[in-house]
Amino acid sequence: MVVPNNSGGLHEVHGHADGADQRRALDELFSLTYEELRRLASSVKRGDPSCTLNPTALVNEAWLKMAKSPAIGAESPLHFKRIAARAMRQLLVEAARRRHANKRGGNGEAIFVTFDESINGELTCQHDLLALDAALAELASLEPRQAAIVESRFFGGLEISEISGLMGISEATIQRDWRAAKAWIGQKIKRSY
Amino acid sequence: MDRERWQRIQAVFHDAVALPQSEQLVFLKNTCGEDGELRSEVLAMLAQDAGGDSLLDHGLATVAQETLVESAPLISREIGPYRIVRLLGEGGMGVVYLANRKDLDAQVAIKVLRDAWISPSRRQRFAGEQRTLAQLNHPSIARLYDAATMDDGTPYFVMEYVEGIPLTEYCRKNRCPVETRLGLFRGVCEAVEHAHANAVIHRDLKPSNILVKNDGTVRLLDFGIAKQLESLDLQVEQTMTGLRLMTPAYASPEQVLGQPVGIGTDVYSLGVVLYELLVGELPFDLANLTPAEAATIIADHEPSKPSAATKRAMQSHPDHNLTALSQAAWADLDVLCLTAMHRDPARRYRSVEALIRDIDHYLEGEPLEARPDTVRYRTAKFIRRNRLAVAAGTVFTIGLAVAMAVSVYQASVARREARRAEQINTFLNDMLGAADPSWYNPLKNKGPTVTLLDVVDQMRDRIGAYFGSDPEVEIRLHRTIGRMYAVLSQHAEARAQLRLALEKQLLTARADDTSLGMLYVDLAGVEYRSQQATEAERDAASAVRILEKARGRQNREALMSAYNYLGVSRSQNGKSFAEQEEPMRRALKIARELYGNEGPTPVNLGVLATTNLKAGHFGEAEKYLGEAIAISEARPGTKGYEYVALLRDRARLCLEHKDLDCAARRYQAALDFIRPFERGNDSVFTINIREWLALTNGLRGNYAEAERQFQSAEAQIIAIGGSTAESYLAGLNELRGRVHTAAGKFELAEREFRGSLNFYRQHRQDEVQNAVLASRLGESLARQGKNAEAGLLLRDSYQTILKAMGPDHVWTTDARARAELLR
Repeated sequence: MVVPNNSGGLHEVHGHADGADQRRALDELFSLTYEELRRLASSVKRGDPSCTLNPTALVNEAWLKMAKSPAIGAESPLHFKRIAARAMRQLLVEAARRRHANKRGGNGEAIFVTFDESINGELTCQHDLLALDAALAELASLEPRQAAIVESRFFGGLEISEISGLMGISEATIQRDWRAAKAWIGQKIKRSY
Repeated sequence: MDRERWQRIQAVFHDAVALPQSEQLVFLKNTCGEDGELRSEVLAMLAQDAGGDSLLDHGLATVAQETLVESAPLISREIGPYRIVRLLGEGGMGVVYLANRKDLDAQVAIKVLRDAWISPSRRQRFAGEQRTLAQLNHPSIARLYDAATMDDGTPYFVMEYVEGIPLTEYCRKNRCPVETRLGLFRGVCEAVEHAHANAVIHRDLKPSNILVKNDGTVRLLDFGIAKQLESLDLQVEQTMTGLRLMTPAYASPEQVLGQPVGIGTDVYSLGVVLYELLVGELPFDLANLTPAEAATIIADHEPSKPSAATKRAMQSHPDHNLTALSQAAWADLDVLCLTAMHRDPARRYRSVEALIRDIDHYLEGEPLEARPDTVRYRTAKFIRRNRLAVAAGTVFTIGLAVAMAVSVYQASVARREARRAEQINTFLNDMLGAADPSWYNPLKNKGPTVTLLDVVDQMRDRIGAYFGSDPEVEIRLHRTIGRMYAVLSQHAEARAQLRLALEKQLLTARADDTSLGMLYVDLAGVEYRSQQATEAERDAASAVRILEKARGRQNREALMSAYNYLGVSRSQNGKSFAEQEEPMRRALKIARELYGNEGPTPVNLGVLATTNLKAGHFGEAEKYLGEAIAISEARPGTKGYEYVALLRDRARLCLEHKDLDCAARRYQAALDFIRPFERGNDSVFTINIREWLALTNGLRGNYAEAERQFQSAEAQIIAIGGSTAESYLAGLNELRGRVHTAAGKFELAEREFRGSLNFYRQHRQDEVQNAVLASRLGESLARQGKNAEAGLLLRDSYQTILKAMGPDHVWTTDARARAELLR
C-alpha cells in the first residue's frame, strides 16, 4: 500500500479522523483513485472526444463516493480535494517509479521490454513525473504553501478560487506563486536529463 | 538553496516577467550584478514561462494514461502452464485474458490483478472474487480452475472460458420470441438464485456479464464486486458499495444511494435486464447525465411500463419483434418486470425464486403471484373514479365540488406563475415534442400510441434534468405533475409527486407558508380519492391550519377546498355529523363570499344536502337542495353530473317522506337526464340510481319489475368487478331486502339484509345507518317468528336510533313500529 507520507499534506488537513477507520478510508481512497485514473487514462487512449472526465470531475466524483465513509465524510469537500490530490500524486509517482524501474530492467526483470515505439514517450513521461515529484519535494522544503498549491492544482484540479478559500490567501498571490513555481519546476524537469 | 534565496529568485522573476522581453536581459544584468547563478536561474524560468512545455502544462489525463496503461501487456507470455493468447476485457479491477493450457490444449480465461500494490483492499477484493467463484458450483456460472501469483507477485486466477455474446444482443440478433427470452432469462435467474443460496450477492448483473453460448446455454460471469451476505464488516462493505464503479444503468436505487444492499439489489438488476429484453431499450436514458443526476433518476423515478415503452420505441427499433404481443400478455409482463425492479426493495419479489415462479406462471398461462394487487388497482380504477356515487355514500357531488374548486384555484395559481411561464413552456414543449412521434418523423404522424400519461411520465422523469438547479420551479412542477396524475386517476403517482414537492418545500418554507397549505390541499384531494381517508383528513387539517389566517383570493379558494376535503374525509372516517358538517359550512361560506351564486356554490350546497340527508336531517337537506337546484336551473350552460346528483338526492327525499309516486318520477327524471352522458355504458352512478328506482317500484307493489331491475344492476356491478364491487353489492342487498319485505318474502329478505349488514358492520362507520339496517333485518326475522334474535336486534337498533335522532324522526318511529311487532 502506498501510505500517505508525512510531508505536510494528510495530517495537516486530516487531523481528526484517526486509527483504523482512517487507514481503511485512505486505502479505499487509493483504490478508488486508481480506478478513476484508469478510467481517465483509457478514455485518453481511446481518443474519446466526448470524454468529459477531467481531474476536477474525477475528484468531485471521488468525493461523492467517499462522503459515505465516516472517516472521510466528516471532511469538507475542499479538504477532501486536497487529500485526493495528494493521493493521486503518490499513486502516479509510485506507478511511474515501478514501471520505470521495470522497463529499465532495474529489478533485473526485463520482462516488459519490447521494441514498441510508444515506450519512449512513456519513459519520458514517467521520468518527468519522478522529476516533478522531486522538484515538488524540494519546493515543499523552501515554501510548503507553494508546493501545496501546485499539488492541489495539478493533481487535484482545484481552481485558484478554491485554493484561495482553502488556504486563506488571495487569488492574486496564488496566481503569482503558481506562475513562479511552474516556471521553476518546468526548468528543473528539463535539467534533470 | 534556502528559503531566502528562493524568495529572492521569485522576486526577480516577477519583476522581470512584468517587463517586455527586450528589456528583461538588461534588467537582469542590472539587478543580479555579480550573482551569475541568480541570473541564469531566473533566465531559465523566464524561458520556461514564455514557452516551456512541461508536464505541468499537460493534463493529468495524459499523465495517467502514459503512466498507468501498459503498452506491452502480457500477450504471448507464459504464466504457469498457460500461454496468454489475447486480451478479453478490462475493468477497474483486473484484466482478463484468453489463454491456452498447453498440456491439455484447453482454452481458459485468466484474470490478472494489475497494480496489486496499490492497496490491500484491492487484493482483498480480488481474493474475494476468487473465493466466491470457488464456492459456487452451478452449470450457469463460469467456474474457477486455478489460482496463483506470478513471479512479480501479481495475483491471478484461471476460470472457465465462455465464448458467447451478451444476452440482450443474442436475443436481438436471433429475434427470439418472448418465450425464448424468458427461458434464457430464467436460466440467469437460476444461477443468481444459486449464488444467493450460497450467501453471495452478485451486485453487478448486466447483459455484458451474462453470455449466451453457441449451444444456447447461459453463463453468468464476473463476481468482481460480489458480496458475502454474512460478512460482519458491514461498515467497509457499505463504503465499498458506494465506491464501486458500477454500471449505473443496472444499479438499484439502494446501490446508487450507497445504502446497504441485499438480495433485492440483484432482483432489481435482473428486472432491468428483463426490461431491456422486452423493450429493446433501457428503462431510463442515463446518457449524458452526471453520476449524481443518474442516481437521482434511478432513486426517484419509476420507468414507463415495458408495454408503453415498447410502443414508443417501435420507431427506433423496427426490428424489435415483441410488439405484436397481446395486451393481456403485456399486462402480465409489465407486472413481472416492474415488480422485479420496484424502486422500493420491500415491494420487489422477495427472492429470485419468487421471480422465477412468476416467470413460470407466465409461461404456463397462469395468473401471476405479483398480479392481484395490480389487478385490483386497475379494475378498481374506473369504480374508484366514480366511487363517490356509491349507494350508501351518495356523496358523489362532493368530488365534483372539490374538482371544481381545485380547477378554479389552479388557474389563478398559473397566473401567478407567469414569471417562470416561459421556462416551463420550453419544458412542456420539449416534453410534448419528444413524446410525439411526428417530432422525429413527420411521415409517421399516424400512430396514436402516445397517451397523455406517457407525456406526464416523461415529464416526471425529466424535471430533475431541466430544473434540478431551480428548486422553486422543480417543486412547482412536481406539484403540477402530481395534479396531472390525479386527473388521470394515477393516484399513487400523484401522491408520490405531491409528497416530493411537499418534502422539498418543507426544507425551505416557513411552517405557515401558504404554498405548504396548497400542497396539503392537493395531497388531501388525492388521498381522499384513493380511499386514504385517514391521511386525507390529516392533510386537509394541516392545510386548514395554515390557510385559515391567510388573505388573498388564491388562499381563500384553497382554504375552501381544504374545508371540503376535511368534511368529506371525516365523513369517510365515521366522524360525527357535526364534525362533518362544520367544515362544509365554512366551505360554503367562502364559496358565497368569493363567487356569490356562481362557481362551486351550488355544488357546495349539494355536498351539505347529501351530508344532511345521510344523517336524516331532511329539512336541512331540502333547504340546501332547493337552493342548489334553483341556482343550477337559472344558470345558462350545460349541467352535468353534479346536477344529476341534486336530482337524485331530491328523489331520495320523496322516498324518505314515503311519497313513492314523487320518488319514482324524480328517479326517472334523473335517469333521463344522465342517459346522454353515459353513451350506452352505464357507470356505477347510473346503476345506483336504477337500484333506487327499482326499490321505489318494489315498494309500490311492482315486485317482478323491481326484481328484474335488481338482477340487471347486480350483473352490471359484477361485470365491472374490482374490490369495491362488494360494497356496491351490499348496498343493493339492502334495497332488495326491503322489496322482499314489502312482498312478504321474509326469508329472502333476511338473507339479503344479513349479507348487507355483515359487510356494513365491518366497513361502514355510520352507526345510525347500520342500526336502521339491523332493524330491517329484525323485522324480517320477527315476521318469520324467529323472535329471540329478532328481539335483540330490534331493541338495540331502536335504542341507537332513538338516541341519535330523537323520538319523532321517521327512522325512530319506523324502528319503534318494527320493535312493536314482537308484542
